[in-house]
Amino acid sequence: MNRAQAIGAIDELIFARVQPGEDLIEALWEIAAKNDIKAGWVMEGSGILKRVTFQRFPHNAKTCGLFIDVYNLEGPMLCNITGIIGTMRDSGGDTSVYPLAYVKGVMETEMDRFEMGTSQGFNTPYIHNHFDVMTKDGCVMGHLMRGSIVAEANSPGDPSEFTVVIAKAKGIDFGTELRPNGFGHFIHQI
Amino acid sequence: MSKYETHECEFEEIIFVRLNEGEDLLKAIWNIAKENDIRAGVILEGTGALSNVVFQGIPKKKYACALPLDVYELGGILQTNVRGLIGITAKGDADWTDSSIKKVPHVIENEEDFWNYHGSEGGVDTPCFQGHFAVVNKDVSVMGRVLPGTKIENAGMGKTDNLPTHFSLVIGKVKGVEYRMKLNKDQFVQEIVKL
Repeated sequence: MNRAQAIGAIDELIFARVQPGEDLIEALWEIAAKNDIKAGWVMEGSGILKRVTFQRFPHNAKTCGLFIDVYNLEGPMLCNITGIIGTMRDSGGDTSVYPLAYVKGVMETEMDRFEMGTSQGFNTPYIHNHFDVMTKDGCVMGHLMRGSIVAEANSPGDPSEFTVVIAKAKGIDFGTELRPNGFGHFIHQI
Repeated sequence: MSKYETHECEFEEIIFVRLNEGEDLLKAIWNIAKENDIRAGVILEGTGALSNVVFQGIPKKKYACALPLDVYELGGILQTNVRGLIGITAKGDADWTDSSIKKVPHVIENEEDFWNYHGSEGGVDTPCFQGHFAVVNKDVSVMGRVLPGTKIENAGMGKTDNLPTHFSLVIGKVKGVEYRMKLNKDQFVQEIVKL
């Protein structure tokens, strides 16, 4: 079967400790931008979160304006993350003409749409990240979004124990594009 | 002497590959392994959506299950992470043929089902995949061992007809070792062979 495929190699491994109180997605965006990652993945990421914000398929698609719902869960919670990293590509279209489903608190602006695709706009890092967390009540998984906060350390001022290992690939350009289907659909390009 | 069998090896290639809507996840991995001649490899990353999932899990009632692991199915749409090892099926100490395998209605009805249940595409010299995943649908989060019948979904914020998906795999092709799966008469054996 015909599949988009590219072959490269590992260029660098980046170990990074995320700080207490940091937004995990914002930290990953920053690490990806600072290290100029055009294609990579989160090889390992585990620690404790104070709160997680995530996408999950809705209980009732008819009452969910986006076909995917956004949830919040309060911790503390143990967390593992995994994901792929690239760039939100500018496909040349005027995305402002795409219909924007207005959902209060979730989809109010054009930037909110990019955040549903876990980026901050064209030519910024794109991170498709899934997670598992375990709270005192049980385990949950979903698509990690901004608003997921790393927990404070046991002693004030200490570093967190949330460390990520990111692999940067060379020889591959990976990204996503926003296409005008529905309220905008993100596709992978390799 | 270490009690662990270890062999040094390294990644020969890193393969980014996008899966297509409607593809069978396990069959796609076998196919990619063949196309890229992978005899030892790792799924380093696999994040996306599935329309349904078929998997092995621990049986709820062992005495009521004809196999060591039961087969479950869960409807979607589901979000998933998949990880696992890719290798090659090698000959064990038993000859598995249609007449020698134990048939289990709806699960193992022929030789192909038998190999698929064990993660192999079709027996000796075909790819095998020992992979686990975690999935979540609107109701539950579960994990298990992926089986054929698990299909790629192209979920998005609207109709996605004829659009590429956002389900990509990152696969590390390893050189220096071969990861072999053997089905012996009494047990399933994984071998790591230095080349």
